[in-house]
Amino acid sequence: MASETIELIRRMGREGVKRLEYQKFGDSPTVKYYTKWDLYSKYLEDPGICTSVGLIVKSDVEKVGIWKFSSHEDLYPIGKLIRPDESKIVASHYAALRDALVVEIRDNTDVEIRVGDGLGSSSIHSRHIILVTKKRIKANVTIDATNYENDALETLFIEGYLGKKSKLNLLILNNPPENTPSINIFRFALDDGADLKYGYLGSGGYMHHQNDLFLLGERAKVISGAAFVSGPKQKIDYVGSVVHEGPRGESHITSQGVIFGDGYGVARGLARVTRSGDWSKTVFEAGVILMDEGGKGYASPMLEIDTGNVLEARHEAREARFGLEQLFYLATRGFNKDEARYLLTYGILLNQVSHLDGELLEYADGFIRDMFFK
Amino acid sequence: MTEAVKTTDIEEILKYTSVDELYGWEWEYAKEIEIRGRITRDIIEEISRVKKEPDWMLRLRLRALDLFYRLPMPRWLTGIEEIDLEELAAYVKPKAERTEEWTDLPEEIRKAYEKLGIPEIEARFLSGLTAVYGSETVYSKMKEKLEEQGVIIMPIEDAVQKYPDLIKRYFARIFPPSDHKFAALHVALWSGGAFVYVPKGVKVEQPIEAFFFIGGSLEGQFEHTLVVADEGSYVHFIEGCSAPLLKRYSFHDGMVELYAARNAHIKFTTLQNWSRDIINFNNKRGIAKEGAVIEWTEGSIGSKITYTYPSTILAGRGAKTSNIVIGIANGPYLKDTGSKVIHAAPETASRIVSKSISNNGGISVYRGLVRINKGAYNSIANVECDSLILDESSLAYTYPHNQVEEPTATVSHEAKTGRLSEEQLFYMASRGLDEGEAKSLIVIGMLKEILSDLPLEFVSILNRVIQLEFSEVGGVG
Repeated sequence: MASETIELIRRMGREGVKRLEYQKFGDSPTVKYYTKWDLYSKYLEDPGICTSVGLIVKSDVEKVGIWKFSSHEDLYPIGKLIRPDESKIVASHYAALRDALVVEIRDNTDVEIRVGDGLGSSSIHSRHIILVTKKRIKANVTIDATNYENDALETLFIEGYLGKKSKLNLLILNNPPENTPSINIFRFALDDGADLKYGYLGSGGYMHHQNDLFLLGERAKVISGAAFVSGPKQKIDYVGSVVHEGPRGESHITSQGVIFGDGYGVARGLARVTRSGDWSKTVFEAGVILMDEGGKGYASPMLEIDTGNVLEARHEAREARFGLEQLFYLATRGFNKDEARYLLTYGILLNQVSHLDGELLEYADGFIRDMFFK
Repeated sequence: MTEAVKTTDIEEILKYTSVDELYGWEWEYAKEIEIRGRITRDIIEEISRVKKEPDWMLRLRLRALDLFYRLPMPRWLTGIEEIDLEELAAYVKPKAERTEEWTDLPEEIRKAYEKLGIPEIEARFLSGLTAVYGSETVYSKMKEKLEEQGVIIMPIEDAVQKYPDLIKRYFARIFPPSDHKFAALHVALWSGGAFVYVPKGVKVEQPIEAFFFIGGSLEGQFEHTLVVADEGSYVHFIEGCSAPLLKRYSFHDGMVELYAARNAHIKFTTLQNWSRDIINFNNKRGIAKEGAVIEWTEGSIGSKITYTYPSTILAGRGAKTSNIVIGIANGPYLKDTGSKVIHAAPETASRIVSKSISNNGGISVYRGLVRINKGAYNSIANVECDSLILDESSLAYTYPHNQVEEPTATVSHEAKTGRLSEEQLFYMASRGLDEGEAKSLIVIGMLKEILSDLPLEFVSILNRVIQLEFSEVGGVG
């Protein structure tokens, strides 16, 4: 029997799908939405309920606690960082959710989480992780969402909590099948002195990806690098944001898109320093490269500074062409145009996650090679 | 200028010791016509009748009115709840015949311009001047030499009558009323403003100015400026705005349209110094054809709330634009400014520079869009935003959007938000400057890009205005 909390949140989700809008506000006075929400609407009509949590975890059982949320629902909250009444699309995730998986890292270790199949015939495949890193723990976590195949709206939500002075290296790989729509929302709260190194590589399908990092404690620190490849017919909207709530925090957020053919890609996000985030430092970079004619690449790095006591706050956006100089350089070394393009893309993607520790970087390298050179 | 007009105004302005003294409190002025109430077809028809407009202009106004009621309220606007359009006068005609002599104006109107040194600046530095008070142009004059060159400078109402073909071709076409609710409201209610036409190859050496004054509370001002620069011509247009301190608020919803034909060059400078009782909306857009240049320079100093985003459509090969926007949000007021550029032709170039200063709880917002359409080969865009926050209670937000659909284009955007550091203040204190003086000095430093192109007298007045703005926290002079 499902827990009361899951029942309640599912009910809120179903009501929200009917009542809520995809976004409360348009993206700007001239841009209504960057995500093509109409691509998702047909999946929301009658989502049904998934038959499993759809996640496989590989870890050291001595160091990591893993359980379904419904079995110990009083230990950690669900829907607190990602609220079911936030938007239509968030509500749809909760409407179809069978259960969430709680992963509690209690000692220094590595964890691998794979997104699996077997969620039944519902039109939304909801996977939900509550990821907790206890205080003073150092962990490497890989979330691999590259090996699944479904004809449904794929949603992956992560509510993450980093305890005091914990260190988390997190790599997320995302490659839904062709023509598969997906929604990823990852939201992390960092306590005093917590340190998150975050890397994201994504490609494929129609994707709305949102990564929000809340630096709640004092001197919390984040380095986040994300890269995505939007191929022909693909549409990717990547939103990476950081909010400094605690004082003396540091964040460096970069998002980079590479667009092939008539692909569509958006690299955007918000860096915010609130009044309580005095003496924080935030650097935010977003860029998109168009490799071919017919592509569309948009960048929108936003900055909201609510205090005069800010150590550093800046952002940069770059939309650059695939340079003739780079092509010429590689051609002189014997690479043809296609090889040169892929080699450059490989370099861009790997560079975005180069801040991660060795094993995760190797994992990312393997993913990029598989994606482009198999 | 006749001898009856004082010529020592600028020196007097420099002696003012407070912002209140500079603006003065609102004073009574005689009105010939005032139209208030819900904005309906009847009101539009009445305004059109008063202006003796041709039918085509009335039809345009009525289409815009229809759009105003059908278009949604922009959801990103804040602080406009106070605007009650039924309470505002949609049209105010002061009791004054339009003239080419300052001495002909009623004293209560003339003193508004004298107080700001406008007659003196006109005599020394301008090719022509249009002065709007409330909803109507009360003074308009152009230097004879320009008339010989075929330059047209006149109130836009006169141009509707005399040059209907030119007006029909450009008016509300560069910035159509369908763009948003307040553009529609403007086109429905427009009144007052200037029309400038510069013939092929003519370079207008001295700037032309339009000066807009709102004289009372609960007035709406919907002035319209249209500048058409024909092939290879050059013109510099300066727009100034001011108002006294009011008992209530007033609302300005103006529009500027620029058309730069092949290889023409238009410079458009705005010195917005509304008093803090004015809610200021401004709709500004230019079209630059092949090889043309449009330069917007916006100094947004006064007002309670300002929403303004000068925009350029680069519609011809090799067209260029430079948009410099400088906003001072000396709180608790809001400056929502920015810029928009559409690259719609190959080898076009744009540069946007936004500088904002937030002080005393003020909010500065930069909102920008750079769009490079498919086919705009080898276009280049560069955006720089600098925000300076002078105290703990002020805010600075930056919302850029860069949209590229052409792989040979390059767009770069950099923004930073910083604070006035203890070291800077200490350095200035060690040279005998107090906090207010130090802040005004920093602001004047940031404004140098707009000040460099202006006559010295303008610069002196602006410097004084800024010193007075910041003297409230520190004391100047």
